[in-house]
Amino acid sequence: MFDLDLFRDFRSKVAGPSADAQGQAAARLARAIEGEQTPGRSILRLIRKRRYAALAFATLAAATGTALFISTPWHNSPGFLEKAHAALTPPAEAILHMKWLGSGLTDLACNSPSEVWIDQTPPHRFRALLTYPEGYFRPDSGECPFEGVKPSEVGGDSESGRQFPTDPVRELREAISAGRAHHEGQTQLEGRTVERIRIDPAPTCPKAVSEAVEDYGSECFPEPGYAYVDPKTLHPVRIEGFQEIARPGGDFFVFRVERFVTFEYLPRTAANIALTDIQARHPRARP
Amino acid sequence: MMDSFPSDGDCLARSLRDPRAFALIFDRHFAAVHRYLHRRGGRDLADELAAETFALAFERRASCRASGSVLPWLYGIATNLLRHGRRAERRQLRAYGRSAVDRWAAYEDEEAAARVDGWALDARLARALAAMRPRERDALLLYALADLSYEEVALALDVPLGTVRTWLHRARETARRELAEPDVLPLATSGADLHV
Repeated sequence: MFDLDLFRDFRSKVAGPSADAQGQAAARLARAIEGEQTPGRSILRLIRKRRYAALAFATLAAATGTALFISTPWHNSPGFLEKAHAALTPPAEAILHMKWLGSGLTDLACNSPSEVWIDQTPPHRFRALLTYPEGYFRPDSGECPFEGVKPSEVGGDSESGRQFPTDPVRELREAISAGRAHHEGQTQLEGRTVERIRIDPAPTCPKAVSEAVEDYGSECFPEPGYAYVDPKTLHPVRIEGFQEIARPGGDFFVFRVERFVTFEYLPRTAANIALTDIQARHPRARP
Repeated sequence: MMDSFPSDGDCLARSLRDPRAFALIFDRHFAAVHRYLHRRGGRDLADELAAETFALAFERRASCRASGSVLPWLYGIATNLLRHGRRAERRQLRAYGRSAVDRWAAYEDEEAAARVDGWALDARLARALAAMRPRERDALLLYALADLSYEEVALALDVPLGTVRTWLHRARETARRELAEPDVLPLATSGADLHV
């Protein structure tokens, strides 16, 4: 009797999927998932970056152009940007409190907001609840139960050498200061009116996508990103763009969207200062 | 909060309410589906169809009847997608069978690739596969490459179990005939043992 099991050896040594192939498939599925949640919007693009390095988990790099309908003509309005910069710069005597939702593939399943309290007074102590502290891509480890996922709690200050690496509005502030931000007028975003700001890449960024992907030293992407701010408070509603992400098999540029749930400056009261103190909250915790 | 490791069924059921839950299905099974497609149609086709498989699976997840692993269902979608490329797959198998040089698959390393290119058995298997009817080839490769049971093959192809048995019987006959024929290619001397 002929044994069909002989065919089990057929092309048995083929390589696994490349990171590019997996990334592109992940991006496509993420778009479909996001499309069901927010019809008509695609939010995630992913390009593998051929570089193997550790990375800070969420600084928004300069970003991409997702074509969106703009209700008013493009125009620059320096007055607006100056006001935005002021509104996005925490007062010295304040605690910055941010809560935001990221986007991604596994994050979409494991989603819970990240949250941080940063004391604006030196040494800038912070405490953060981060959903993805150990890297973006979670293998099938069972750590993600879909709901009630427990974010990791981290803390530090500038004296301990551990500053908060994930200020999603820092890039926007820096872009305004450097003249790389452009006010593009009002637009509708998820049912509300917002002001759109384009963030151009820094002059030092590679000029082409291929260069960014190949450039082992590059951490920025040669396409613009966008920030959407509330017309009254000028606080961020959404920031989107490419950011560098660590994954097994290499780093990637991932087009991410950060949706802000909370952005506020808390008075520097004892109770609010305590929110920045991880040791006070976890006396037995060790660094 | 769920305490235990969520099963595929949990993910799928939850994804109907919360589409994000489908991401874990991707994380778990993308590599396996890609590998299956890679072995059948080469790397380029696998890159394209594996992505298509998960996009379609997400779209059709409400129709999935799997209670345990969703892999057979995913393999079924992947196999159906391969139908559009059947002629190409057959041409590729024939060419591989004739030349014993695999220009379509990417191997783990150069050594593996060199071994395969010099390995007549793989090429003869390719030739036998090319000689099979498409559905018989589908059933055989779901069994042999995807490691599905007969019942799972039936589920993947959405046909009765008896039909799978018939197809596999015919595939076996074709394989026996093709592999018994004198070959223009020498059989490998690496100990490959044909149980004909």
